[in-house]
Amino acid sequence: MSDKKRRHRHKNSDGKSFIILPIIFLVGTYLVFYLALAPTFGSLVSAVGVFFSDNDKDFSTEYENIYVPVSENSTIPTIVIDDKNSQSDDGEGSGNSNSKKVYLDNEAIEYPVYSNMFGELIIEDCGIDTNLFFGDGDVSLRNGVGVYGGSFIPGYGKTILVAGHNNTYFNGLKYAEKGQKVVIKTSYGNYEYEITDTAVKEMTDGSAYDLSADYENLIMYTCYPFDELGLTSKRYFVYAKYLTGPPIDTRVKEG
Amino acid sequence: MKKITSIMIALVLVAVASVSVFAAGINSNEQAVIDFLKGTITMRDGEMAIPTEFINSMENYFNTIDMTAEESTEIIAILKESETFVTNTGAANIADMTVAQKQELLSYGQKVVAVINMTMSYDKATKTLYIYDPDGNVVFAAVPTYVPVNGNSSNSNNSGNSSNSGVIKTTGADVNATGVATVAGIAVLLVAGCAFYFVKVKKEA
Repeated sequence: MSDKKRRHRHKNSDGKSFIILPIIFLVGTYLVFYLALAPTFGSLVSAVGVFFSDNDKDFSTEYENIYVPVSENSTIPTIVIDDKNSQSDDGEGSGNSNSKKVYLDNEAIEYPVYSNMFGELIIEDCGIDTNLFFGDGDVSLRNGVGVYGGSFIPGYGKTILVAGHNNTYFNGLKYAEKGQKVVIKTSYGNYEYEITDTAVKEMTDGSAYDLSADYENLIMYTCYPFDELGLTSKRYFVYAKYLTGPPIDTRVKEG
Repeated sequence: MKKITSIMIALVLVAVASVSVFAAGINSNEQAVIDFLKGTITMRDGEMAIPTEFINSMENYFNTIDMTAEESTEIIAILKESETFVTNTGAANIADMTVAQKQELLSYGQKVVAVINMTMSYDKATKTLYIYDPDGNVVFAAVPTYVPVNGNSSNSNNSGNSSNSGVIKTTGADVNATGVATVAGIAVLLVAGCAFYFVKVKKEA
């Protein structure tokens, strides 16, 4: 074989090796990783999901949906209470001994349990219209926004603390401004709140919320900055005051 | 006639069964437990309390059940025992207890929840305490801890005693960190492999 042919053959084999060897290396590495990480293969599947996250996935079998929208003609049992400490719409006690207020009968409400989808949360001005869950675990935040289990449901007269992911259902919180309306729809009533403030705080800042408040108030939060991939210690809080919606009778009953 | 009667009875039963009545609201037995949980406990460095959010979680669950007086009495009795135990450990907080003491405290907790057919478990890896309802659904999940009593609160109403830990969740991009790390690892290996290959080819040339 002439030197020229030998060199040409050598170059061709180099070209094939240049392509074949890396491919073999890729496949071999993949196989090694697969075998080594077989128990946690799901991580590779989720990694693919990172790059193809626009695909719609159906997680509806992960949770129980107890939400039945309140129709205009439906009547939810109520009771009238002569409430000396009734909560008026501005969140302050009226102190009027003759004030009577209509409350939802507790017996007619199906209280949600952890991971139940029990309503909708809508902020039109922010383009938010999402499922509302009780509990803020992975299932809830994957499918909507979630009420922290150490806070309460709308109508209970206490703090409602709602979490949502900043790149999905609560991405619109970046447009939140004072005066915008927040609507929460549940099976037992529809509630309206008005945004009063927004703030960026550390996630460990206990002053960002008051879980012992004895008046109805809504706090929504998500990671900050928005659209940032990765973990961050800051949260974007949006505070809203109660406007309308049927309060729940939370008086202690006889045992 | 018999057929009509039985049909009527069946219809009545269906009608009765379809009326939704939930075990909703807090009754006096449950309130007694809540009030007890809101009390303080004496530990090494002073008065401590159960975080507000923990008590709120239990109140939310109590809204879905009807606790009897006997159950309430039994729960409070076990809670009193456990508080005495905690005080006698001499620890400043749960984290300061020995493994054996934590095990003992966990067993008290399991006895308490068992009264109302719930179960409790502890995940050592995440240090998280879980409480499950009779159907196995998670009712409570948090790192167990006590918090110093709010200086302005009374013994029976510890307002504002939040643990500030585990309340606010990670709500960043929903990324599986393990998946990203795996892909990144493969990419690094590929680059390293290719670099090794090129260096080798260059040397041979």
